[in-house]
Amino acid sequence: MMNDPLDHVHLSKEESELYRARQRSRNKVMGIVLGSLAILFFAISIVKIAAQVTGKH
Amino acid sequence: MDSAPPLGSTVALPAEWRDFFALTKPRVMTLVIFSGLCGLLAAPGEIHPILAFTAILCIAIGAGGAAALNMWWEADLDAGMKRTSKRPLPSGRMDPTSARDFGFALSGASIVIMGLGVNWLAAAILAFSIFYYAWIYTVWLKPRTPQNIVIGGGAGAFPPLIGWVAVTGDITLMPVLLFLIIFMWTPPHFWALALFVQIDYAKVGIPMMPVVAGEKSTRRQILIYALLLLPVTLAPWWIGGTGWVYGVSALVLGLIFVLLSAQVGLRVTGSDDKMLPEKRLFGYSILYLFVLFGMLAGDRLATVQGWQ
Repeated sequence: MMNDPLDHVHLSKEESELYRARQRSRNKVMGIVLGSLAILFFAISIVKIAAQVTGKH
Repeated sequence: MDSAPPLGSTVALPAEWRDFFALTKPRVMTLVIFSGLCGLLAAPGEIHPILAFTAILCIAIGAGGAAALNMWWEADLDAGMKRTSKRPLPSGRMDPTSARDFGFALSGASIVIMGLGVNWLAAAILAFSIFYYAWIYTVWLKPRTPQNIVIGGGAGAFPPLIGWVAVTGDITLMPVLLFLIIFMWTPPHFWALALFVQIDYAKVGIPMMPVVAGEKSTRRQILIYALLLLPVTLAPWWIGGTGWVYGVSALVLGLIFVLLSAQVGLRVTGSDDKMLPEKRLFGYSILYLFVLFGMLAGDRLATVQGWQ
């Protein structure tokens, strides 16, 4: 399990909130990117399989 | 080198996703995506829209990865120039390691996805183009020779070639000509910019042509490249690779380019010159490439529809 960098550091409430807000924002974008990639890979697979079935390359 | 700003005493504030996005040079990427898309649309043959989208996405991600590696390597130089000092690394909004890892991750992902999803020849050219920009241009040539822009222009010339190869799976004369068009276009485009930002480049010791060879020589070379560019852009028409829609457009656009380059090339300036012809040429050169490649795709559409 990964340690939270904030566990061993004393930050003010504002600093801690800013840190968490940055993390949340980055996590949201990463989630969107990974989700989009999963959809893209699925679509590529379908296109490739369909091309093989119909004999196209 | 600066790193991300610290919070408290030992923890750094994570960079924002917008800073990672800025590392990919989104404005440059617009031209990369557009020229890659035009190469793809102009190529003879068919490609499934999803695979076409994948190819363009990979070209864009690869360009973004190479740009991030460029910014990582040049962070110190960027800090010394007004135009680039607000970038994420020189301004201290991100640590260098994150930028480097981001660049390698984007580059690697774009090559693998291109290879598995589209074809491996396109992936190999994409890999070489990233290496060309991130190492041959950024690390090797840029700090060593005033010809950096000429040879480095090759890096920006790859997208239409990759777009074409994504469709056809092989290399013929036409995609090589598309490569040559951007290759020949880059020196007058960039040197026009270098003429009015030369003080910045001189300050950080980058041997840009105006700094090393002087303004007069740079102006002559801008005109020479513009004159050479014209026949290169007409070559696809001459060899029968395109129709008159592209050919006439290339001729008209090229003549205007030569005219504006002549205004820059034959000029002698004073110390407090506003450099308006240089700024005009720089602005036009961007429009020129957009319209020229747009016409290339339009020409293919006209041929498919039987209009020419």
